[in-house]
Amino acid sequence: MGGAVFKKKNIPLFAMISPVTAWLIVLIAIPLVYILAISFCSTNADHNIAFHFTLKNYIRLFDPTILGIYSNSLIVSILSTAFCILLAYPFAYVLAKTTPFKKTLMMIFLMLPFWTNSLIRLYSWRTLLGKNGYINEFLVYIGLIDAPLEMMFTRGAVILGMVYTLLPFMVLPIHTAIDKLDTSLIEASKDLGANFWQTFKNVILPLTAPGIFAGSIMVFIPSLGFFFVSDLMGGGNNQIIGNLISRQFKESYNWPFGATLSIMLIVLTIVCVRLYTKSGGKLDELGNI
Amino acid sequence: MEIQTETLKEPPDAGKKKVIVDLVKVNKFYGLNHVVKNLNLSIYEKEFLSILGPSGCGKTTILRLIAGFEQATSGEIFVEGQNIKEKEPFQRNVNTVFQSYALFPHMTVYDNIAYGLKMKKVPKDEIRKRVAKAITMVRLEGFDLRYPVQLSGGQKQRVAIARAIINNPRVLLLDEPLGALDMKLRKQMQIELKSLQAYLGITFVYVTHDQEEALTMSDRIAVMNAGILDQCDKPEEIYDRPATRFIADFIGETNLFECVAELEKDGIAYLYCEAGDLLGKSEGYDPNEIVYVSVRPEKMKCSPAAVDGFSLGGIVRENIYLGNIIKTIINLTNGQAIKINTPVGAKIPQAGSVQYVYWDIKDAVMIYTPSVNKIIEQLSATNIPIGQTRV
Repeated sequence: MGGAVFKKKNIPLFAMISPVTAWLIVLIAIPLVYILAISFCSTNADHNIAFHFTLKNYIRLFDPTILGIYSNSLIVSILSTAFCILLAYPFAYVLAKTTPFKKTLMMIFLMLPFWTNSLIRLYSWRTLLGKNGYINEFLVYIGLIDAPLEMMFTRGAVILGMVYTLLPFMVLPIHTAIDKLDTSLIEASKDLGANFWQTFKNVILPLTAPGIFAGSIMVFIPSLGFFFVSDLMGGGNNQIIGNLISRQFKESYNWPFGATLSIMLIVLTIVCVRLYTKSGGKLDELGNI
Repeated sequence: MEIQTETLKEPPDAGKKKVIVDLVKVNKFYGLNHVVKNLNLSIYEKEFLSILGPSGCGKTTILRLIAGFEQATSGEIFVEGQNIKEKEPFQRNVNTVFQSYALFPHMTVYDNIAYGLKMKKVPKDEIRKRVAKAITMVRLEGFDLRYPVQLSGGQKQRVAIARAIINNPRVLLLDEPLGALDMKLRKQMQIELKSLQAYLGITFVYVTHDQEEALTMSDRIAVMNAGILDQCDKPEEIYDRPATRFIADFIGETNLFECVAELEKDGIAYLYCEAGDLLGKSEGYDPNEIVYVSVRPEKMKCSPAAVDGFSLGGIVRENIYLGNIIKTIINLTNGQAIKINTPVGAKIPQAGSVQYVYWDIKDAVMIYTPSVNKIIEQLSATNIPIGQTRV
C-alpha cells in the first residue's frame, strides 16, 4: 500500500493534513503516552517523578477514600444525567414541534447563557442559594423557615450546577432525534387506537432513545470531570473524580497518581462510548448536535 | 345544469345503500390556502370510492379530515351517523393506510400488525389468532419476525394493510398506497386490493392521482379540482359524461373544442369554434353561450371532404403506431392538434393529406362550464367571503 499512497499527486493531500496530524501527535498523542507511562511511576521525596515501574498507583485506586470519591462522583453524574433527561426531553419535544419563529426564540434562550463565562454563571447561584442569598432571605421573611437553609456546598448544589452547565448538551441530541421522527408514525399509532401516553411509550420514546443515549454520554462523562463545578457549588465537600485529578497535579504534586486517575477516567469514558455504540448509537450523532 | 358540488348523483341502488361517511359543507384552510372548498360528499357502506385529482387538489386533506388528523375549518363530518368533531382518531371505526406506509421501524411485522389490538388490550391468545389470520390474508406467512427495513416495497405495503384492517374498521382510508410501487406490482396490488375490499365487505376510500387506477378499481370516483369536488359518479359516467371541462381533460385523452352556440334544431346544437363549424347535442343553450365539446380520440373520424355541419379542416401531421391502435394527429387551421385513434388494419389517412374531422352527434360530450358568477354564488353559500383570510 505504501507505494501506492506516496505518489506525486498525493503531495498536496499530505500538505493539507500534515498540520492537523502534527497537532494531534505533538499535543494529544505524545502527552497521552506520557501520562500512561508516568501512571506506572512513583514520586521521590522532592515530588519529582521517579522513573521506575510500579503498580502502586493502580493499587491505591482501591483505597476507601478514593473509592468514596469515585462513588460520590458516579452518584453526582448519574443524578445529573437523569435530571437533564427529565428537563431536556419536554423542552426538546416542544422545540421540535413548534413553529420556526418560536424554535429560534427557544434556541436563543437555551444558548444565551453560554455567551457568559460558566464560572460567572455558577457564582451567580451563590447569590441565590447562599446562607444570605435571596432564596433564604425570602423564605425567612415569609416565615416558612426560622434559620437560613444550607443549600450551597451540598451534593444537591453540585448536581444543580452540573445540570445547569450541561443541559444544552442533552437538549440538542434529543431534539435532533425527535425532529427526525416521522410524524406519520405518531399519526399511525393514534389511528390504530393508541392514546397519547401509549403512543409516547411505544413509538416516540423507543425511536428517540438514541438521542437520549447520545445526550447522556454528553452529560455523564463531563460531569465526572468538571471539577470547577464541584469546587464552586460543593465547596470542597463534594469531590468528584475531576477534583481528585486536579488536586494531584496542583496541590499534592503527585503526578503519577494523577496520571493513573486520568487513565481511569479515559477507560470509563471508553466503556461508556462502547456501551453507546453497542446499543446501536452512532458516533457521528455524538458530534452532530 | 349547475356545478356539481351540491347535487351528486346517487348510485343506482342508493335506496339499499347506507351512508357511512358524510361530509357536509366541509371547508379547510391552511393559513391563506383554501384547500377544500364547500365539500359535500356521501360515502356509502361497502363501496370502493376513489378520490381522484392532480397533486395539490385537496384529496389527501379530505382523507386526513375523515381520519381525524386535521380539523375542518367549517362544516361537519359524520362517520356512522356520529359527528366526529369530538372524537379522537382512535375512537373512530376508521383506519388508515399511509402513503409512506408509516410502519414502526423498531417493531417486527408481527408487532406492527398486532399494535392496534395491543393498544385495545385484547387478550394475548386472541391477538395471536387475529394477527395470524391477517398475515395469511395479505400472504406474508413466514415474515412475522422481520423488521420493516428487511422488507420490499410490496411487502411493506401488505404489512401496512394488515395493520390497518386488524381492528375491523368500517372504513379503510388509503392514501396513494401504491404510489411507490413499480408498474407490474401496482397492477397486481390493484387487483388484490379490490378483492380484499370485496372479501372484507368494508368501505374503501382510496386517494390517487392515477386516473387509470381509479377507473379500474372504483365503484365511484370523486374527481377533485383545486379543492372543489367536480363530479362524483361511476367510472363509466365520469369517462363518458364528464361534468366539467377539467374532468374531460383529466380523465383519459380527449379532443376539446371551445365553442359558441349558434342555434338548436331537432336535438342538434349548431356550434362554431375558432377552427370552424361543428355539431353537438342540444342541451337548451342560448345563442352566443360558450359551450365545451369533448370528443374522445376513438370516437373521432375524418374524411377528405367536409361532412354536413362540420368544417374542421386540417393537415395530417403524423400517424403513430401504438401496438393495437394507430394515433393520427391532425393540425386544424387554428393550430389545434386533433387526436384520432384507429384500430390497426382500418384505413388511415396519409400523412400530409388534407382531412376534415367530424363525429357522430351522440359521441359529442357537451360540457357546460358555469360562469364565474355561478362559482362565486356557490362559494358564498359557505359563508366564507371570497378572499377572506382564515388562519
